[in-house]
Amino acid sequence: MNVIFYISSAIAVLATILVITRTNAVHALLYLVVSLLAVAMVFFTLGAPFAAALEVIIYAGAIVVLFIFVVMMLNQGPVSITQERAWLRPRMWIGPGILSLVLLGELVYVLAGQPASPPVRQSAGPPVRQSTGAPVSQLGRSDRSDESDMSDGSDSLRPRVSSLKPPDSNLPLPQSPIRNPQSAISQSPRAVGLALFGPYAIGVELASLLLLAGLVAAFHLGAPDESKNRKGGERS
Amino acid sequence: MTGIPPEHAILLAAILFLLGLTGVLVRRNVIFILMSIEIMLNAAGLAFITAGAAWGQPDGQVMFIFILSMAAAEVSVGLALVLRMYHCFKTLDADAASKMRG
Repeated sequence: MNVIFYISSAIAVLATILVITRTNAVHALLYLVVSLLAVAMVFFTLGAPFAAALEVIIYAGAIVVLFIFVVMMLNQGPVSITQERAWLRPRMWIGPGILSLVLLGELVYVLAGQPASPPVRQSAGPPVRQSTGAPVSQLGRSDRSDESDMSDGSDSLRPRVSSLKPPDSNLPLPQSPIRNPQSAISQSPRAVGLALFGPYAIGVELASLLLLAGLVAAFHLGAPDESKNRKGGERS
Repeated sequence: MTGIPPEHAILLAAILFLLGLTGVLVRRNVIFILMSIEIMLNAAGLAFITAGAAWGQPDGQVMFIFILSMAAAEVSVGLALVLRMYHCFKTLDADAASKMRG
């Protein structure tokens, strides 16, 4: 898993560099797909298979297709490529490149400056809270039939909700469960769904509201005739 | 699963975010700017997933789903704006729309 993580992260970085340096929009979009698939692979190695599937389906499947449709509608030809090449002079890269490199240096410094704080704190802090045990018990329950599954889902939500509270009281980090294979598997879609429709239900409502607003805005902006006529009427 | 340090994944997220930021700063084509914003949002989601995996909680994936829906809404509105801008100015230059005239 380690090797897969590093290989796919290298692919992601390379493909992203190629995305922001291409002059042809379709080539950049294809590299963007490669980058998103590599990031999905990274999600999978981090123990989040549901997020990896969502990344492939929604990002690489829906959003990039939207981009491709728009690029098709705009009908860009070789003229736009030469214009793009004229815009992308090498000295355009100096300022943003330096700024980004400075930011990256700061991040690396901060990340390297706190060496292995979680295990130290964990040995000093109180014992590991029960939340690492709760998802495992959820996994065990998921083998049952659906009716008992649903009835258990409501009360297996209780330890989840209560396990969201303790980090305020005892802030020390738990043992890094990435190294614990059982709890790495435990981030199943079931746990994500229980969290999504339990403590985060208001977030789901807000996301649906946001999507509705996006739909209305895209519909309004996409309707061409009305404002053209109005603008023409104002002009004339 | 087997011993990926969270620092490395956060570092990958930072690199991707900074590449997206560089793209936003450098490019003048609106479509490339939107693509770079997508890269930045994706990097933020990667940071959330990493944190969720490091703590063994599904909350990171929940936040990733929220980021995903936000990115979908943003890109639909943004691309509609790009189409409208292309119809108005006949170019995709971001500097063409720098003047406000209502």
